[in-house]
Amino acid sequence: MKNSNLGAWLAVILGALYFLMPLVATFEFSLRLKRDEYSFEAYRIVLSDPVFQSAFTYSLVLAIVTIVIGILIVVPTAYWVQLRLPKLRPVVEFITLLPLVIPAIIIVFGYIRMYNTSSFLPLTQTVLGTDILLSFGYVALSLPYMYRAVETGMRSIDVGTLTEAAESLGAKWPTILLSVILPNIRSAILSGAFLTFATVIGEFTFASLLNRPTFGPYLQLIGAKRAYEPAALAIIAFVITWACMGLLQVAGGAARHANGAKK
Amino acid sequence: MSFLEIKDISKNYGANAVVRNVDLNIDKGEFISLLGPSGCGKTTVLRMIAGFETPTQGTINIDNEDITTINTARRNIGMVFQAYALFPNMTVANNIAFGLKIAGRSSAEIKMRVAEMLDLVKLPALGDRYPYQLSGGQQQRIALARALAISPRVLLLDEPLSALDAKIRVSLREEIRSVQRKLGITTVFVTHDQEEALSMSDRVVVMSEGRIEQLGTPLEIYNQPRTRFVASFVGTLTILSAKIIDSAARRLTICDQPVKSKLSPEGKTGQEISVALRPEAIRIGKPGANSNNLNANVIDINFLGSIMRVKVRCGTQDILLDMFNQSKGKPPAIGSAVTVSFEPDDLVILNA
Ligand SMILES: Nc1ncnc2c1ncn2[C@@H]1O[C@H](COP(=O)(O)OP(=O)(O)OP(=O)(O)O)[C@@H](O)[C@H]1O
Ligand SMILES: [Mg+2]
Repeated sequence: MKNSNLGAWLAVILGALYFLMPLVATFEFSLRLKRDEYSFEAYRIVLSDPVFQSAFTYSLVLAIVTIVIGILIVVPTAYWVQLRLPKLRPVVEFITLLPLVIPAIIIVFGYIRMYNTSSFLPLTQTVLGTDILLSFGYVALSLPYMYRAVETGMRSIDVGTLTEAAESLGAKWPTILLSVILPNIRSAILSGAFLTFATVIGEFTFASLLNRPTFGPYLQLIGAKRAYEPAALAIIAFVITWACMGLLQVAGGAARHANGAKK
Repeated sequence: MSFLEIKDISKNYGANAVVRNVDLNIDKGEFISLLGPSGCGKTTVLRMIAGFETPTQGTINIDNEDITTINTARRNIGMVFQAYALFPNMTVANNIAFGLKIAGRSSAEIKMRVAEMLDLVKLPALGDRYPYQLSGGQQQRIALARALAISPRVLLLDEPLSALDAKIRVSLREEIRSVQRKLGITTVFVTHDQEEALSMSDRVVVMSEGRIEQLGTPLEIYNQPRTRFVASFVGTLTILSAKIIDSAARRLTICDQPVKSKLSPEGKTGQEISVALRPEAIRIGKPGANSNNLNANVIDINFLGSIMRVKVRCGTQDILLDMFNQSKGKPPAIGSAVTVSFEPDDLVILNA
């Protein structure tokens, strides 16, 4: 008994060290910009850098646009598949998993070929066009996470019966989707949204090859030029990611609460 | 003209005929139960009335309006599901108000109607709760209130009680019936529980394999089952084989002992037919002036609380009969010879 407990603790401690040591080291390093004293100077420099601000804001907007488009595509699709086309579920699932199988670099090369200036839809010709292409690319990239989350959420409620109950009360399907289905999978959508957010904020390949100034390429740029600032940036990115995870936990907890209660 | 007319509807899923040529006329204010074993197509009939399924053949009219292919949302029907199906994200009051909001009623009117409905189902204080804060029985009452709030033309209930435990099932059964009477709403109730169907309904539709086996009042269904299926599905019953002696004189034999029936059996002399007897229609000893008497041997006794179910053997056939469990009377000994008696009225002749 005692022994196995000890072993378990040892494993936990080793694991924690494995994950925490680089983090602590990076953090410690990021504080050493000023000689002989710890300071947040590197953070100050990074955060006050207008390029950082614009890159981060840009990524933020992209993430939000991606989330909105993703929800608009995924929620009705998952609803329809669950309700009317359950046989299609494996097909849809396979399609949503494709972005995990096909490397981003291949997808983006495909995009560039398809939508270049001499193509039928020259999206890359204008900035706006490229931004649209980028956010749709991100929608595809985050599809596995968004679809999974929404699908799981829909499975946890009785979509069929709730829909029929609403129909018998006179509701048409936009109303049903908006006021019955959506509120009941809100936490699932939220987790999908956070995962999408994390994906978009850290994405490099698409942005770099489409030559858009997002956070990813900025991080790479700073990393190539500076010493302490990249460490600070890494910590900032890490905090953002963990904040997302934390929010996800909260949302997940809310979902469990609702489901447990629903019985 | 009946209020709800189901004319020769059938439903096929591919080659699988699930409902076959069902004809049903339901009067305004009537409470009808669809009763039958699992998979006999009760739910499918109900779902066609609701508009969740389209019949492969036949038409459905409500109040002389053909609704066969009309969208559910425009049918104005109320539906209560087995799985409660309250909207988990809305309070009880908002659940009840849902249909009214869609119908575009004023908020003052909605408020009044919600309060009225909560009173109707005797849960006036629960408006602010969420469904997960309610018991199963309470949820089902709210589901009923929600369905009735829109003043539907027809109320449809698909096994609304089967997820509840026995006590609540009985009390809610009575409550549904009293609400239904109060509002005079035409109701179709689906169940596989014969007691539920018999105790609640004006008329019962017994279904088997997608067909109507028998349609009648609970008393008719129980006392005069027309087919073997109905006889065996509704209540406990002994099915015996009898031989026709004289059809016109209504004389037969059961295990070579003469008996009389009330109705003439169809068939030639010497033909074997099926007859049925309810356990409660048979008594031990005490023959009456016109009663049928059979000599038999007691082979088993089952104690069921207020009654004892006795199995007697007559020739090669076993017959079940019920005796009241009185403290005075002693049960017959197993193996003893007895005479069992029943009235000609109680001998049910089965057509199939
Ligand atoms: N969508 C469907 N596709 C194919 N077959 C179906 C479908 N819905 C129902 N069935 C079949 O139709 C038959 C009747 O189903 P129905 O649900 O009406 O039975 P039921 O009498 O309500 O039974 P239960 O008491 O179990 O609810 C069943 O054999 C069922 O398998
Ligand atoms: Mg059913």
